[in-house]
Amino acid sequence: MENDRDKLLDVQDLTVRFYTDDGVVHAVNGVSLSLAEGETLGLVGETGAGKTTTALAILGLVPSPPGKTESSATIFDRQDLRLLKESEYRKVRGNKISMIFQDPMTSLNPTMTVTEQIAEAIRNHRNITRQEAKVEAVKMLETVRIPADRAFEYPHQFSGGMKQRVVIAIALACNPKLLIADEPTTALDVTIQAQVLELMKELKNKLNTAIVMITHDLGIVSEICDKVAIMYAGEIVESGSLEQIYDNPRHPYTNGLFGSLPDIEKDVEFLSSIEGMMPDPADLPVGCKFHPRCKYARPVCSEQIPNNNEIEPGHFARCLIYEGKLPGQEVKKYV
Amino acid sequence: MIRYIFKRLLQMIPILIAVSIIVFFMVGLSPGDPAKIALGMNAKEETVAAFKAEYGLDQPLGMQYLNYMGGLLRGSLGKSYTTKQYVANMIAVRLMATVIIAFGSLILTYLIAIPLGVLLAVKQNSWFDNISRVLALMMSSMPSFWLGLLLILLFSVKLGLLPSNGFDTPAHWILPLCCSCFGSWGGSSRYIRNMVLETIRQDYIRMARAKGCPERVVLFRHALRNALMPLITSIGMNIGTFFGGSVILEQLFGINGMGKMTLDALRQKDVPTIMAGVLISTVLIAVGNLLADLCYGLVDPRIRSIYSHPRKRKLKKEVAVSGAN
Repeated sequence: MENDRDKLLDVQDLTVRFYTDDGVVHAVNGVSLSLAEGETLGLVGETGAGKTTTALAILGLVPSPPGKTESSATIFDRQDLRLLKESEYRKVRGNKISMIFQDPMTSLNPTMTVTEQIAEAIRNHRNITRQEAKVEAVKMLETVRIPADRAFEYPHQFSGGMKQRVVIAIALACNPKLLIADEPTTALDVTIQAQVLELMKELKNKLNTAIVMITHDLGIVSEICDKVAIMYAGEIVESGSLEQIYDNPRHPYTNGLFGSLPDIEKDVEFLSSIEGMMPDPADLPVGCKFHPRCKYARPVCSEQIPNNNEIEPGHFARCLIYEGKLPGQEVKKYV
Repeated sequence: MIRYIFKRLLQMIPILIAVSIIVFFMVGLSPGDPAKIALGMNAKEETVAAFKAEYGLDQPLGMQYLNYMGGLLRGSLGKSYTTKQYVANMIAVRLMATVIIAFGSLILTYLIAIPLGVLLAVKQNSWFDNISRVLALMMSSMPSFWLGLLLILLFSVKLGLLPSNGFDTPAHWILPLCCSCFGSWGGSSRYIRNMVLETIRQDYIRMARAKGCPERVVLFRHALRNALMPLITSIGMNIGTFFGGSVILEQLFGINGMGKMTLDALRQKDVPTIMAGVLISTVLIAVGNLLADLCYGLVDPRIRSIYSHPRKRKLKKEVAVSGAN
């Protein structure tokens, strides 16, 4: 077990709600995360599970109003982020914590050259001249393998993969201690995906950056992550080390996710899938939030909210099975 | 870039020809004899015939048009039927006033509407925003001739602060310009507010915030510049409106401008003056639109790259790179 002092990021009971005219949207419900320096956490879940909102909440970028962020602790680098004033938070953003956004096509300002956009990030946090920042920015572009002679071009002159590399260059411009990568490869085609992942691995090893990798791609997680947290309806339903989750998934949802992956060694006609849809965060089910889709569900599941049960050291699952509430039920691997 | 401007200027020629044909024949075919209007109903037959011969009105309409265009090509705008002055001279004294009103109100409108719109976007759904919504509706529904009368009543008659008639000193400009901007301040500031709000939802704005940019930079460097693009299009289209508006304003504030001149000429079927007024407005509107399109390229690099020559683009880049290293 890691000791508290080693933790770079420690978020406890993070809750994000959006107060809209149509009711309260429960986007994130009591998420706890912790991460040591140099560690990579995979935050996995379907679209709408609250992964991006969790990331934005860590950066203090949840729009308010209508959003409201609460937590019992958000410690980063021995600093309580909740106590920061906006001007102090700004010094953290893009500097110690930076974020790669999902869609490189829309994440870059179309009216500024890529170098300007990287230099801006540098100048926000370091007291250097415009010219020096530009030189740094060009170096940064070369780090992500964009040749210097393209440095003064505009985003529309780059391909999708190159744009994502520019976005990564912006995120890494100030050597952040924590990088939040929100589906960095989703918008890219497979060959470019591999390049981007390779690049991130390389940077992780070189700079010892801690990474929160938000994705719904279990393949990427296995490639790059040390720890995994599975999110469902704004909650972390299962978390543990990569081996624990992959070799021994204990939550029915996690199990369903793995069951929906194609296996090259098995000859099956259809892939199994999880029936139903992610619940509407404005109208979440009572009790366990997964019970309407869970094949192990019993009436008790719609009455009691499961705790985050520690099954083995460091491996947690939010399911009533591990509280002895469902006698005789056992989650069988990958079915 | 220069090639592009040249091309656009060439494109103005067919527009001008089309406008001239439409206006010339519409006026020419409308009832009423310009010679009789100019000379009075009681003029003798011989006088009328002499007048017609002098101005070429005895020829068929098509011939009259060709004569007029021929004169235009030689640089002559003709002579007014009613004032007997050269139209070029008449315009020389009047053009400035109209240009000041039209472009002045254009500039004044956006000088105030842009910061106001950004402010409204920042204070979205506050009491300030809500009040402005109502005010904007009121401001844009007030007819300018009515508003102008109220302004004259208050500032000239009651308070005696500003002159109400003429266009000689900058003090004379204030009331007409305010009157013409008043309506567009409301509408344009709401429009800009919506554009900024639209832009502020974009991913690159979130990205700018995640980079640690102060809100002021996010707003002005990232949001406003992108929000300006659709605005420029609307400015380009508004130029015509401002020219049209100047006709009413000149009437109201007793300004001796092109609008008033053209309107008076229309009443008297004074073809050379009408033609000159319309054609010059057309040129000004077309140039205004061209300027707006050029601004578009200034703001949006995607448009700019269409204008510039590929070889030059590369050269510029090489210079930039060598400068940075």
